[in-house]
Amino acid sequence: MIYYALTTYHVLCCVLHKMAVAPHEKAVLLLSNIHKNSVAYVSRYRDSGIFDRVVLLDELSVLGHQKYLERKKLPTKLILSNCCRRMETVLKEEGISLKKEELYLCPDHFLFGWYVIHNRMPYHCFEEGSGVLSDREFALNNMKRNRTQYQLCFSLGCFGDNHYAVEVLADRGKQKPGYENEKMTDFSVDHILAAMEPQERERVLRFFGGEEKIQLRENSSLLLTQHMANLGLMSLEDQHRLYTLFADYLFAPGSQLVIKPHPDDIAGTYRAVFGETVTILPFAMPSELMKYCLEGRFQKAAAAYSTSVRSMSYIADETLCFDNRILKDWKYIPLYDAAVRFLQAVGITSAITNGDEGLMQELSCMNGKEIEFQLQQELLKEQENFTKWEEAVVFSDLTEEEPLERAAKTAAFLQKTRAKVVIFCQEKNEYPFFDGENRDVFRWVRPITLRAGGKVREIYIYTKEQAIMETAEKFQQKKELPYTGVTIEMSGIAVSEQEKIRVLEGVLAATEKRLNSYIEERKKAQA
Amino acid sequence: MGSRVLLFYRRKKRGFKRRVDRFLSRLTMHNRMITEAYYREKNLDIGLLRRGIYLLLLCLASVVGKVYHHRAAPQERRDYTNRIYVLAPESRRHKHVSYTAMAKKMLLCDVVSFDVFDTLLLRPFDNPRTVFYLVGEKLHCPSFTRYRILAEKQARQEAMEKTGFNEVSLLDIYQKMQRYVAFDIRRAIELEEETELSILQANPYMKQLYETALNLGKTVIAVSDMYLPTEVIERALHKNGYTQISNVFISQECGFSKRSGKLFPYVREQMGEEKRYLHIGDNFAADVRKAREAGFEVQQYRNVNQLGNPHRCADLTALIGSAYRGIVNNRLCCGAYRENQYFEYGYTYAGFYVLGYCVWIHERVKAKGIEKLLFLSRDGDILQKVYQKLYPEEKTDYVYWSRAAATRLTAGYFRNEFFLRYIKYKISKKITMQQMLAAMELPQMQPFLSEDGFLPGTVLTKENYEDIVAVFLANWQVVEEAYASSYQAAQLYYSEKLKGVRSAAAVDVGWAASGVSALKVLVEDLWRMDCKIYGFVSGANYLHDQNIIEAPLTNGDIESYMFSQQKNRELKRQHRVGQLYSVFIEMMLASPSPSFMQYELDATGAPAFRFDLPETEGYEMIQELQRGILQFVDDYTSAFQNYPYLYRISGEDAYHVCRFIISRPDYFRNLFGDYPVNRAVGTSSYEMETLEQLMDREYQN
Repeated sequence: MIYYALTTYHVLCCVLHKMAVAPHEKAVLLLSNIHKNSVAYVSRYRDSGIFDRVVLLDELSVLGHQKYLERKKLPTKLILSNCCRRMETVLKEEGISLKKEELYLCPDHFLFGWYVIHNRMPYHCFEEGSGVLSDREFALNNMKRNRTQYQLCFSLGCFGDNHYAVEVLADRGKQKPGYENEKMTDFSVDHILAAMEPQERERVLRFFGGEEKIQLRENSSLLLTQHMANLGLMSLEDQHRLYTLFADYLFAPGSQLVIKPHPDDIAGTYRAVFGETVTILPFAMPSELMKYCLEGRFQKAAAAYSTSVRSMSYIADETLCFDNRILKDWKYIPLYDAAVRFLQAVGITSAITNGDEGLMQELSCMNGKEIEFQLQQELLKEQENFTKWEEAVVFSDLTEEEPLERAAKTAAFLQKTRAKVVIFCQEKNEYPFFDGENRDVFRWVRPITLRAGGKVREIYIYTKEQAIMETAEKFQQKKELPYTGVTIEMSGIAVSEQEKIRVLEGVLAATEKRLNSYIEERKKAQA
Repeated sequence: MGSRVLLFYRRKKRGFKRRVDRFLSRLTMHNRMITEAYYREKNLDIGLLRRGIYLLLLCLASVVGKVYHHRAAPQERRDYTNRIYVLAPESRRHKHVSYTAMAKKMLLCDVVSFDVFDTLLLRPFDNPRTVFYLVGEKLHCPSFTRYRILAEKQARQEAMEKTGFNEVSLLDIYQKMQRYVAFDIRRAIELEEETELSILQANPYMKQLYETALNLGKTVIAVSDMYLPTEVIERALHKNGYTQISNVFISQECGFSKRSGKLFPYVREQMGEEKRYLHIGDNFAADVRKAREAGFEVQQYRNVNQLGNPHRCADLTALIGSAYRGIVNNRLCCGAYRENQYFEYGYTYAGFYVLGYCVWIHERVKAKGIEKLLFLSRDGDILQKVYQKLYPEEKTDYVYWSRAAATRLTAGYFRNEFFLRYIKYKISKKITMQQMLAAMELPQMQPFLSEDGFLPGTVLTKENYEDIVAVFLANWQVVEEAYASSYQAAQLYYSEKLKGVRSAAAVDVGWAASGVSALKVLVEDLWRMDCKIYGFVSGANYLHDQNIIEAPLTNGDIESYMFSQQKNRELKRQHRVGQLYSVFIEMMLASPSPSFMQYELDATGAPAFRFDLPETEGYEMIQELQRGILQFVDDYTSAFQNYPYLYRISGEDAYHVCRFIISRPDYFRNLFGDYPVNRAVGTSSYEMETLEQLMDREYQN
């Protein structure tokens, strides 16, 4: 038997299949040197004795050749035949013959898989990820970066969608409802692990370096990281800041923090960021094995936008996951928190927002009184919506729109709204509600200033209710951020700052003058 | 007919010549040397062809990087040939391997080895020898740097002859130094070690890699070619947060260096032959070639000073210049930060000037016993922020002030100034009486002007200027009445600001110190407050009258930081107002707030403020620029907190750094081309002139 595995999850599939389905068969595990974890831990895999032989294939050189041919703009067919020739050389060098061997590929949409399909060899195929067999779109989306791979996926019929794939091993329970595939055989990682003898499971844990048992306290939290910096979605510094804000705002103060880095999140230095008290699980261990390393349950498990956290209810009382909006919205967490605190201070229980409703709701839970937030992305689009909400409206950053148009819409909204309080959270220090004509609006607006480590940010409260306005003026709160290492002070403008107020009035009058000049100009042009 | 043809021909010829001149002027603006040389030779007596050939040769020389004055010093030459990044931020141009890619490399090895100097640790100098100036100062030895370099050379030669290796210890070096200065060797060694320890700082990029290595469970070691003892290097590493380095291998103690090719095999032998190693260092010969020969995986980290120095101002004093370049290189070239160009402009150029100016002001304040500093808006905004950061215990205030406000407040005293700014300088704009009075906010003067034949539609001309002035003088009470409330509001405002203060100084950017002079007249003469007003400007250079503030500069009431008629006159001559040098320096001190216009009395009788139209298009740029300035001040002061004398940046040094950038108009055209400028008094319009338009206009003249 020959197994081929690309990522850590794939290795787990091969290990479990070998141990559960074919424990007495002679088996070779082929790993790819493209996946650095495989290179780093190959000796441990060899020492485990689960496979008779573990071979590290030099797929990196084949990939390099593929990229070279792509740069030369050669047709995909030619690239495929060239890569297959190279792959054959690599296999020969390692002394591996695939003839008459039963092949288990995990996955079949990469270089080794192409070779197998191209040479018309029958094989068994594992699904790409748990439940991904029925979610082809998700799998294909991940491939779009590699043009040749994407094209070959269709022409070769990857994911077991060809004549040579005799069987597709997939977790039946996690597929989309109603999904059927005649080649599919149920292969559930969770079920196999659960059914294993404890000492066998220990072997699997040892294989992935998870020997240590972690004793969880009552108030422990789990942070599952993603490899955003690796994917180029943000800088490593921002990735660290995102998780620091998560830990500061979304976990109960004083809770035991456990971090499970994503297997590809190898650059994240969470010990340095969170300090010595944090427990960090081995990054190269698949999260499916986590529950066997823990004694106890987490109070909360959170991830930025990884879906894996959703299936973690077996180890956490509460799971928290956001969508990809979090990649932008995480910077607003302190502003959202201030908005939520203010709403709580004036006794609001439900609100509409065009920001991250899930994040705001979670912040409200953390602050003791839950506020129900509803997402309404097109808040300013239709005029009949303006009078719909009576409680509170929270506007997140509106600055991507053209300023004048935005200001006009917001001003119209404020004129018609029946909401008790409207809050504006924005990065830029602008007045998004001021259209140049509604100077009166400032009578109903009060700023709340957030000061932390020399940095000043503001949110604006719009209300016509005297009591709410007074609350805004007297608003004073503090929030300690233990992991960021600062204290955020939130406060309204004190009446004593007379000079500052007069200066602001002067600046406002000048702004109004300039805006009005533009409006006049526009009117003239339209006329 | 013939004469008309001749006139037509001459007009066409003039037009053609003007266009050629304009083209040549634009061509010359790319390089300060070309600009200076071209302007030096620009003489209308010299023919167009000769000028064209001369310019062509200059441009050719510029392309091959050989444009400098033949008598210029090497540093000055580098100022001409060193290139700045015009189109992209420098911190993004210097590429280093990403953290993730490095983590992947580390994953495949067992031991990660780092070079120490210029890799794990950085000095805040662009040249390690600059440290000797600090040691020499502690030892009160003027030629210490030269002796120290010589002694090290001799010690290494001697070691080479004796052992075949040129590795030496500090003791060897200082023993050799006895030939030059007979100081206590032990004390001198201690001082040098202490100095090194006090200035070395962690490289943030390497710190992250070090954390990554630890996070991946790798053994971290340090390998260095150095004469300092291991114990000192360990202390330096520890002090900068590298607390988990398992072994430190220093050439001086091992007896052979990385460069000799023997240190890496020795490391292997000590740490284990079977292990896989990754070495990260900056020197190609020692850290890359020799490590590779010893079977190490290698990653070269490009030296920050080698990357940065070709883009820095070089013509500075040895100590301060090295500190400036070191700080900037460490930030922009280390690979840990990716900043925008506005931040970099603030960090690289404006920060140095602002820091030097603030420290100089502080010294003058102490020398003159000034009780309070008034930073005049808007240039004073960032100056006050930095000053407050440096000297939080001192009394300072940011006060609203502008040329427009000063012109009206002192209209009764400096009458000509009022006529110049509101009438004479507007002649070229061909405005009507109505427009002129609207800018002055003096519509009540129209009946008196009409009486003398200047109707609302009458155009202001050179010929009717003096007659209009005569009408104003004859009815001066109208002007005084119109500006009375503003005058009163200003008096109230400054009474509050100067309450109990016997001496204060107004801080402004320059150039004629008109703001300072006006405030002085108001406070001392017109309002008769018991407070003496001094003035500080960063440069004194007024195009229309070079000696405008000669007396106050002489008696010390006004002092200039960078240049004036009394100080650094050569710099003053090189400061080309016509090429917008002053505007560019003013832009370094820009503030993200509208220009102040007038004081007013509000309904309660308290002073209120009126502002000009806000140039909101430029505020984001300015905020970034200010962030850069504040970051530079933070970095510089934290690097030299034990050496406060290094804060004393001379005006000449500050100006050289400024000139390095302000003499490159293409940089400003690219970076601030869209920046709105609203310069003249009484011309505010919602459509603002951009810097690019201003440059086009000014460079034609």
